[in-house]
Amino acid sequence: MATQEQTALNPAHHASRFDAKWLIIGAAVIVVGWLALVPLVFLIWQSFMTPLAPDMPALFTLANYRNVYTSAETFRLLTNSVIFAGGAAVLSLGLGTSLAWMNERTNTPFKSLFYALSIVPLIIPGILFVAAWIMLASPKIGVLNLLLQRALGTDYVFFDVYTLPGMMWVDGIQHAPIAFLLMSAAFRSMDPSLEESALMSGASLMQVARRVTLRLATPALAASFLILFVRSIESFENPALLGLPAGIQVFTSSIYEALHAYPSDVGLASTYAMTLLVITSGGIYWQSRLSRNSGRYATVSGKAFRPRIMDIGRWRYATGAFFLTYAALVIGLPFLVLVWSSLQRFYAVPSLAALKTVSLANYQAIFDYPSIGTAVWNSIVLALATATAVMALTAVIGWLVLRTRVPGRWLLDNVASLPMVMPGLVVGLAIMISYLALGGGIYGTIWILLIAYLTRFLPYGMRFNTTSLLQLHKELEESAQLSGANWFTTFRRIVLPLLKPGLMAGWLYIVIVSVRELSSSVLLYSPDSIVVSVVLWELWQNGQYVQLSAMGVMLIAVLFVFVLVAQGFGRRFGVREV
Amino acid sequence: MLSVTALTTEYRSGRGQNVRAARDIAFEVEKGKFFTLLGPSGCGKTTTLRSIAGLERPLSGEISVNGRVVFSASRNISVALNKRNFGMVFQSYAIWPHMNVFENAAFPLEVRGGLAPTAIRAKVMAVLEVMGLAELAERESTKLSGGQQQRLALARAIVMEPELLLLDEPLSNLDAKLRERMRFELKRIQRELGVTTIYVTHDQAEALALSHEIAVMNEGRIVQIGPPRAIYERPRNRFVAEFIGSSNFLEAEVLAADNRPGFWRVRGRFGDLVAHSETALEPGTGVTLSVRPENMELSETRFEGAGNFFTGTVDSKVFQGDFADFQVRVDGATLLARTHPSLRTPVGEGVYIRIDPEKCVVLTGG
Repeated sequence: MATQEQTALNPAHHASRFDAKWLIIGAAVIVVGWLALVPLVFLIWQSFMTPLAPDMPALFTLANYRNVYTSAETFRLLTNSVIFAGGAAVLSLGLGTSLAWMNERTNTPFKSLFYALSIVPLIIPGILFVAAWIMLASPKIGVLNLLLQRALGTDYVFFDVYTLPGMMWVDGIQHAPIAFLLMSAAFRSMDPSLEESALMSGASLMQVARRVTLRLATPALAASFLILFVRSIESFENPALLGLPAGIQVFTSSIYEALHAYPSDVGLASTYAMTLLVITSGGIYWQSRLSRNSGRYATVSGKAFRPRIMDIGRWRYATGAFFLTYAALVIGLPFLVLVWSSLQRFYAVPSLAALKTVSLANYQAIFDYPSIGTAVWNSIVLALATATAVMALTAVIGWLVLRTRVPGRWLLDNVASLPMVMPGLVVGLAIMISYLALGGGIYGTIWILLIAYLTRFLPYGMRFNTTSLLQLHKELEESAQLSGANWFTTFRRIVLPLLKPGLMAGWLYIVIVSVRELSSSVLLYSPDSIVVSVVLWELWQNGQYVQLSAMGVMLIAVLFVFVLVAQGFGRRFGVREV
Repeated sequence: MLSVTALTTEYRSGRGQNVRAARDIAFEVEKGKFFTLLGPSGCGKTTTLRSIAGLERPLSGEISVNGRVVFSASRNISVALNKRNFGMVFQSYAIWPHMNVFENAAFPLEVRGGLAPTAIRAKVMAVLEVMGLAELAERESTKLSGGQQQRLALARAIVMEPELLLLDEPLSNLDAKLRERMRFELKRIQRELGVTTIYVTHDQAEALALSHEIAVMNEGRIVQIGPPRAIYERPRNRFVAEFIGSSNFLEAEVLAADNRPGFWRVRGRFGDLVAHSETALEPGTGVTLSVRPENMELSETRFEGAGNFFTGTVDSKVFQGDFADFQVRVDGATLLARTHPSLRTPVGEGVYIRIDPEKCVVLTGG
């Protein structure tokens, strides 16, 4: 028996068993810490420093902050940003909540389309959505304007996207699917008996919706509003394409302008970025507080209830029409206008005459585009590498946070989720500063893009992995260990296979958002490390709208097929429900 | 065989305070015996089991199996749980949904290594045979019924021939009928294999039916250890008497020793009684008597012979099919009596009561 005790006490034996496990975990912690913290530290550092130049070292200065906060320009930026993001968030929340209520609680027709509604906007890159809406509703070339003018015989401008309301409109309908998903989840986790007892008390359907359903959903509404607000204030394509030509500046477009002015002003950009970070951090912090406190509303229990469908009678034609209109605005019209313009040599309003000039020349032009091969290859490599690395990394981190009692694990959770508050443009800027200062020769290579993508999408991986880990009963792992399996075997044979559905879903999501990614890439790319989204950006900058449309149509088609295949694959080979 | 001494565990509550879950737990289990930790939820029984398994690290104490120390706080020994060689069945069964029945049961042998696939196959199939799962070996584990999952979990726990089998409320997720059948199954399997078993439950009927020995726990401590019959018939204190079965409690004052050893004459509010006590009593002190409802004999005619006699009035009655419960008022107190259903005394009528002195137990501890 003494030998048994010695085995347990033998430090070497102990150490070897420990090292192997902690090596992987330690490596994951270091990588995550590096990714999340280094850019932030350098961003803060830069905002207090004069720009680094070959002939001059960076010096401490408060001038950046002094210049920014004493300027009336900054106040205008702040007002514009808040009005834009607030208006867009109100619009998307209103739309998304109505749609979610119709889908979850009423017998509105065309329900099978709701799913498409939630997935399709994901695969339309932001720059294409905004470009499509310019083709639809710009005062000069907008199809909707021109058609109405022709029909009514006036030259009145009906729609103008180059205005603050226009920006809100485009951003609002673009983000409504997110509101739809968030509010659907909230409605689904609400105990239907609360509404049923209101009905039995004699309340009408509308009274129930207004006085019970919406009241119960208030915490979810507030939390969703904050998420949407942060999303909008972070958005780059919309303010860049719609705001800059009209002189309506917000923080993101100003950061971009400051960097692309000659000489570029990194200090100014960093200070703007810091201000933006404070706003987004506040929003996310407040949102997480709200979500945590929603525990006192016993309705939101995390438990899924069987949805209760109310018969709304003839009103369902109205809700059906509302839904179809929305689907047309967010999917139908933008995609059709892209297809139309992709077939035209020069941009023209749809007409019978223009139908004769239809050609596939633009598609040919895209294949002949000089950097297209490099861009496609880079995008594929980056998307696959990012998705795989993020999901693997966050599986380990998520396990560490949820399954161990390592002190400081909550901190690790927060560090891995930190990039959530960083707009893409700020991530790009911070990484640019970091690796210019650190050297190492990765600036201007594809590696810096990989680092940016990893940083940006780390929080998504955390969310997918922690959600599926939380659903995994701890006893499944404990019984493996009691069966004699060590940590490796347990992780490889029990944890990973059971996480597979979540890992696949997260992987798929990150592949798509990586291909779409523009706001970090646009600051970090070089001719060798160009990616697909940046090619779209270049085409827009060059005014090659018809080629942009052709490339957009192909990209959307490819992403759509990818989603279908991946989902079919997941259904066939995915793990059975636990 | 299994020896647990001075085991104390602590956990951090939501408010950041350290809470003692199990306090100073000590017991011994002989080889091949079925030992049950019984108590209400939160009494520390699961924590004790998880400490033995190695899933939790106790604050202090020592656990040894067959003389091998698997945990000792003072000597800083803690054998990793995957080296302890204990089988465990969890409350949720923890059947891995991505493996079929055979793969689930073969896992412990595979990860240990040292066995050829054919040997593993033979061993697993033998165990599945015992559990009546042999024909289902290739079935997806998610397609099993509750009872089959439970047997698979048991198969997986015993396939590696563990030194100790740990069962954490394995029957609590089954419906009532199946639970009763599995009780017999479990008992048969344990007796056939002769594997030393530690069982955790809050169900007194399970504990009484299965165990060689029961430890009743309350608020982190063991309050009584003994064979099922002793626990039921001679509860040491009010908690045990109430938690296991139900009891009538009578306050009384000790008068003197009766002529038979172990029996004492006491004075209650409705007259003098003869009661049984395991320890000597001091005349003049107050004691509590416990009487099981089924030991309260009721009759419409006067009893003959020896015993404790009273008269009372039927207050209310409940017909339960195989028995009838009567609430009887005796001098302002209400006592519960469980009788044969043939007794049909109407409510409000008088009734004669007899209690065998043997069944009139003085609670001696706490």
